[in-house]
Amino acid sequence: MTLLSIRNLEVQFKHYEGVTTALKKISLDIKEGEKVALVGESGSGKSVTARMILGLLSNSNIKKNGEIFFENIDLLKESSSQIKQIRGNEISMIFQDPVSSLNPYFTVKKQMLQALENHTKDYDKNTIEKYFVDLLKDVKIEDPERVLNSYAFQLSGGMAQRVMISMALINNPKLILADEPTTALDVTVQKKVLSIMKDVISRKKMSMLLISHNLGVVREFADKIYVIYQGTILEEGSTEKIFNSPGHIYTQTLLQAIPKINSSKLPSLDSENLDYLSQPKFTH
Amino acid sequence: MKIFKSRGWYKFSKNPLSVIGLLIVSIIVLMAIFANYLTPFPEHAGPFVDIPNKIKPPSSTYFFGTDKIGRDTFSRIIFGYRTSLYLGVIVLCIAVPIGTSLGLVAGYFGGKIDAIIMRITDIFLSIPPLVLALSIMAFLKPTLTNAMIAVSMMWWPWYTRLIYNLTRSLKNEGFVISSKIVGASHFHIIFREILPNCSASLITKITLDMGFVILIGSSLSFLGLGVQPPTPDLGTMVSQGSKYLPDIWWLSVFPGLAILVIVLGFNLLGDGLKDLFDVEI
Amino acid sequence: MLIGVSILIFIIARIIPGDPARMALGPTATQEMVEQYRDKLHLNDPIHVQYWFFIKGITEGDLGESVYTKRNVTTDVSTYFPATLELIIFAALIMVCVGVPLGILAGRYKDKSIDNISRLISLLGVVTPSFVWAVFLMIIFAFYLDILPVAGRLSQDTVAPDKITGLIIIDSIIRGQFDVTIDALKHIILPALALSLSALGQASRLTRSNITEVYDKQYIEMARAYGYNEFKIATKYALKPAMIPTLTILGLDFAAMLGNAFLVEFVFAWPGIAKYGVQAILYKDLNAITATTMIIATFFVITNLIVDLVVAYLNPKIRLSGK
Repeated sequence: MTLLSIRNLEVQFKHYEGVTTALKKISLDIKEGEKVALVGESGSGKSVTARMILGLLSNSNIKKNGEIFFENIDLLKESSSQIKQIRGNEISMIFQDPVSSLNPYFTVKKQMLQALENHTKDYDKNTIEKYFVDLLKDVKIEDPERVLNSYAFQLSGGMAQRVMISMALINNPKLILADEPTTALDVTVQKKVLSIMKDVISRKKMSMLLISHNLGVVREFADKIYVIYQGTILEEGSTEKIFNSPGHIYTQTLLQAIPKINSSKLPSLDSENLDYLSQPKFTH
Repeated sequence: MKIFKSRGWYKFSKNPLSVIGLLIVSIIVLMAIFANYLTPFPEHAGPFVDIPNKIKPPSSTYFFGTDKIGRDTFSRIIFGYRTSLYLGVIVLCIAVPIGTSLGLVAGYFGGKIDAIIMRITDIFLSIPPLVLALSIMAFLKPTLTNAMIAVSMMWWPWYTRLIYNLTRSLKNEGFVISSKIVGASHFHIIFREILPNCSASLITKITLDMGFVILIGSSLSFLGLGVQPPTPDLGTMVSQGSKYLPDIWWLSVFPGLAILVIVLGFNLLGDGLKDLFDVEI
Repeated sequence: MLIGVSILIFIIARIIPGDPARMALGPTATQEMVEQYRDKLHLNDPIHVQYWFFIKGITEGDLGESVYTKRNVTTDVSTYFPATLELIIFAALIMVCVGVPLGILAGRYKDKSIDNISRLISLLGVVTPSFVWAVFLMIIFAFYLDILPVAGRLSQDTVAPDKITGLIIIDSIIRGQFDVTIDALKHIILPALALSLSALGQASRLTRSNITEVYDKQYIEMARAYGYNEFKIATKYALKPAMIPTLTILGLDFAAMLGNAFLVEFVFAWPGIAKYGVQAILYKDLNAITATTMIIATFFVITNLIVDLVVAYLNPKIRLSGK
């Protein structure tokens, strides 16, 4: 069952020097329980895609075309009050820098409570704290009561990101969007957080759209991969097919760019020498 | 005229308000310098009495009307600008070098010197400007010179704090460390390396401060603690004119507007410079 | 801290050139009378004895006589200071209740018309001295439109309620004399407005820049991603982080209003300590200067203390690291 379907999405930014096209008619599907990765360099448009799903980009400078279907509703045509009901509810989002994503002046508990209250006032005040504690335990936080009453600056990066993951789970979303969730973390912490994410999502049978520039991270995690470059999807396929037989030159270059212990040099992704966009697109 | 073709001017002129500020300041400064030639009645700025023409409302001869002894308000305002600008320049000529040097020394050497200087600076900064000026004037006779001393005394701490913060952050920059390695003297580093890098902030702050010094100065003379008559001064004119409200309104309204305009001019110009140099003060 | 301040004031007051006793008695007094007066003021005693009398005077509430009004200085100050205090408090209320929302709107709707109007008002507020505003407001509202009174705290025939706090508005409310309250309010609004405009401009600009900075932060985007509505963000989620740095400056502005109050009081003939204080300065009235300065200094110390406490309470980073 397809949960999310992006069809021919085109996004243009208006500014005083003209118009920039961030997304050039891309299409993307996520099935129930599927973990999909959207991989590309900075500026490829991957973050824009995620934000378009939840309507987080300010409407005044944007021209958009196409559809984003979520459970048969076109999110692009919904009013802002309708979108608000979906945000943090059926679709949640996790951001790149976890410590900055939390308001420094409110406790974790207050923010989790607010995330809940934005969608329902109908909860049992006595057991709600236990619910949060359980969520924090789910992401392997060992001292959940202390963390609940902490402020963002008291948490380490890895701890904060785990808090963000549990916050994303509060309202039992069907789809979680993760924008470079491990980029801001140390390498050893990255692996731990990724495995926690994978575990929790698989257990709760949720779908995820993981956005990353790091194919290495994506390999451990995703079922399906989309490769995006300058607003166009160049290749899509299952993780296995992409890693074993990448079709597009760009994908091959990306794979070669993953640092390996025994290699001596890194290839350059120099777009001046090779026009990636003129090569045919691959669908496995 | 090459400056008008530079990139700096291009960026500066993009904001119409900044250009207006520059215009206002230039016009006022020119008028003040050439007051003797530009005003219709330059002699009214000194001791002068012309009773038959007293208390005349604004007209084509007397643009802003005349006062109780027949002096032309417009001319006196232009000369009053002279006093204001003079005050501003002198005050800043005293406060800026003192404040900047203290800030450089405190920021560069650190340690006990830092602690002592900044402690004193903080005490001064915690007292609101006007109150400090008033309390200093409490011990001095009200004259223009003393007013200038009082305002300078309360102004230098702002420069100390600004330059102190800048010095502290610049101290660890590459070019300073490489100077030290090469064996440059402290004097050289402070005045030839660090200080030039503060110049953008300094120029911006000085411009903005011209306006605020004039504002404080006019407040002091409004209370009778600054310039004494018959020297024309904008604050004194408002104060004396306010007694005759509302009938002889032009005596206090026009000097008041004059103060507004000059402070506005320096403020707009300073804000424009702030955007141009992209500094924080 | 207060002790340090009192020593400072004491020393400075004693350094003033001019003989206070002579100034008090006038040029016609004989040298003998001047000497007698100097004895009364303890001016011939050693300095630490003088200080002892000074501190004794403060604790007993007796700071000596004003040479100008010939009354007990403490009485003078307690008569005039509440008037100034009431004015400042009212002006501060205007500054916060008008300036801050204006800044929030300007930041939220950046570059739209509300932003431009707000910035214009702020700019004019900042560049115009309080006394000029006072004159303009007086001309427009008191004379031209004739809807508000020109001077004083109360109309000629209105009697102030018996003193509880010295703040007429509060006292009259406590005593249920609401007609007096309305009269007092009519009288206070112009001077308070004139006093507040400069600080209002600053508060608005500051709030605007802080709010804009906060709105660029990641946690605001996150809030939207979790379904917070814009109103909630503006009034709570973004406001708290923006206000904390603003509060310190607002506290300083509140204290600064004391200085500007002097200017406004003159224009509106407000019976506060401005006239008293300036007179004291011009006549070198030793006791009066000392008393006035003491109360002003106390005012600052208390204000700074309150602001520091409030900020420490609101900012979890300070609150938690202090323990």
